[in-house]
Amino acid sequence: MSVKNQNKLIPLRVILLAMQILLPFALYFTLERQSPVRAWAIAIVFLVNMLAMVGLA
Amino acid sequence: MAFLPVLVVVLLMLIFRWGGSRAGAMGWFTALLIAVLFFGARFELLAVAQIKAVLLSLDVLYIIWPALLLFNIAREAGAIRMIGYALPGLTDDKVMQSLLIGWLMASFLQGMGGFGVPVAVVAPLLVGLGFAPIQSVAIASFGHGWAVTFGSLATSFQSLMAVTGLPGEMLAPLTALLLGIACLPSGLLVALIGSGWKGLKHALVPVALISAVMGVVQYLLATNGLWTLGATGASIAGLLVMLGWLHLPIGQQEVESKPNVVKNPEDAGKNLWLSLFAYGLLVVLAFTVNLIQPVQAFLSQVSFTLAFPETITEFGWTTTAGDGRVINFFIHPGAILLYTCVIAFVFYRAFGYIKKGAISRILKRVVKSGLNSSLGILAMVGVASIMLHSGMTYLLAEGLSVSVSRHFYPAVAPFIGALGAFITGSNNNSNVLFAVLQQNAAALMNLSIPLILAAQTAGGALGSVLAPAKVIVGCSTVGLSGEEGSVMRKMLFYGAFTIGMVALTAFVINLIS
Repeated sequence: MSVKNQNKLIPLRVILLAMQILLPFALYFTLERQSPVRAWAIAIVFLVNMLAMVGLA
Repeated sequence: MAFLPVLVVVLLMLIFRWGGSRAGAMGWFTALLIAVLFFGARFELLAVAQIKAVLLSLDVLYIIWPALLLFNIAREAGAIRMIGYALPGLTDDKVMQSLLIGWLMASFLQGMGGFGVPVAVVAPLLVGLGFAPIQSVAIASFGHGWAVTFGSLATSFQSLMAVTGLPGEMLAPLTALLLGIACLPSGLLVALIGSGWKGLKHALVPVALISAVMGVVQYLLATNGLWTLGATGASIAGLLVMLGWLHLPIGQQEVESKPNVVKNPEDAGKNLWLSLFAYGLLVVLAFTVNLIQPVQAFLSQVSFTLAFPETITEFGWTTTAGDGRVINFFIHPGAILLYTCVIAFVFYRAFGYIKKGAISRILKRVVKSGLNSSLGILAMVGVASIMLHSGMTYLLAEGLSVSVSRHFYPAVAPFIGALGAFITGSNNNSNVLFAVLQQNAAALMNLSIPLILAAQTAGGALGSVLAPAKVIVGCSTVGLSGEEGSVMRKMLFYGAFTIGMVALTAFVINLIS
């Protein structure tokens, strides 16, 4: 992949990094408040985020 | 099955040449599936494992980002170039030049920056001094291997503590001892690769002397709570001894080449010592915060952690309830780095070493170099945490303890650490992946846990310089892109020798203790 394309992906990587850090905290507080539906919703977003990391060349 | 997540990461990185973040993410999915299908992990357990993983990762990322920021501020101020100009001017002796730049300067850069910076900065400098490109990459790589664990402000050591839950005071002595011993083959290899057997003979006395000094300084710093400065302090001490050696008649031999370093016009009028202000300040602040009790007590007041419930798999593997990693916001090594960054930036601006508009350039470089490694760390720590909470790590450790003899295991542990670093490209990731496994194996075999963990991280440090990710960086800076395979093949033999030295030392320590 060219340097130009790699630079284009930087904003996407920043978003992925922020999500990787913030979503588990959201999950923690959701579990603490015992709302399983929200917890599952957050977990699914996290999975999609991880999937995006796999797809990122 | 328990080994599959690690195997997936290995294969993707080595054969398919995926980056650490991408391979780590795939390894994470593999670990998740295996944990659910074969180890009886359920939603809450996986959630707890991932939240703990983020907490552990933050502890490490809090050092990586400020370390990168500091390095780029100093680089913008011309500090790295100024060192590059000054060092070769000190001697015409080619062997001593290779030691000064390829061993001592590379180790200093590892202490302060790391993340591939030593190879990227030092290899082109060596080419400029007349060394062949392959030689330059190999010298720069082996020269700083011993400094990796306590380098990058001890990020890898911080990970080792974080994942094993053991205090630095317990892990530091043996780690510093093994790495101090590894300092000797690192220096000898630099002389051998740079100038052949004749150069090795010529370098024997100074290398032995400087290795002893660096080993002792690193040991003293690490065992007194200053592990963040272990490699930096040791390499500064090594540089000072080398300067003294060069003033002795015996230190001035074999004039083969004249230094040929062209100065960048931007650096005209700059002073070496002023350009190094950031690193001097860091040393002062680290000592102040760590050694002056009232300052330490005042800054330790704000901390953060989360409480976690007990988790249990369907097969009964239990992880007890407790707090996660505690992050002390204002006394953390990352905080000390941040204070240094702010003061150093203001200082450099005041003296005109950093021009207007530099902030965006510095931040862009920091983001570019920090993003991928951060994503990689988060994914790899996630893999390790899932494996740990579902019982996979314990199962692997049990397997190792059965298949490897108890007396021989200390000699195997460094190679496991090296394998992890080779696969993932970093000592840090190797510790995250394998430290708990090694800890469990040591406990099962009734071996000294600090010794095995020291062997793990020392092997990881020496193995990390052989990693494709780092070799690619080195090759790209000296015009060897596309020839990484042949460079690696040449380096593997020497790398096995340095790791073997650590393995032998760990084996002997285990026998006599």
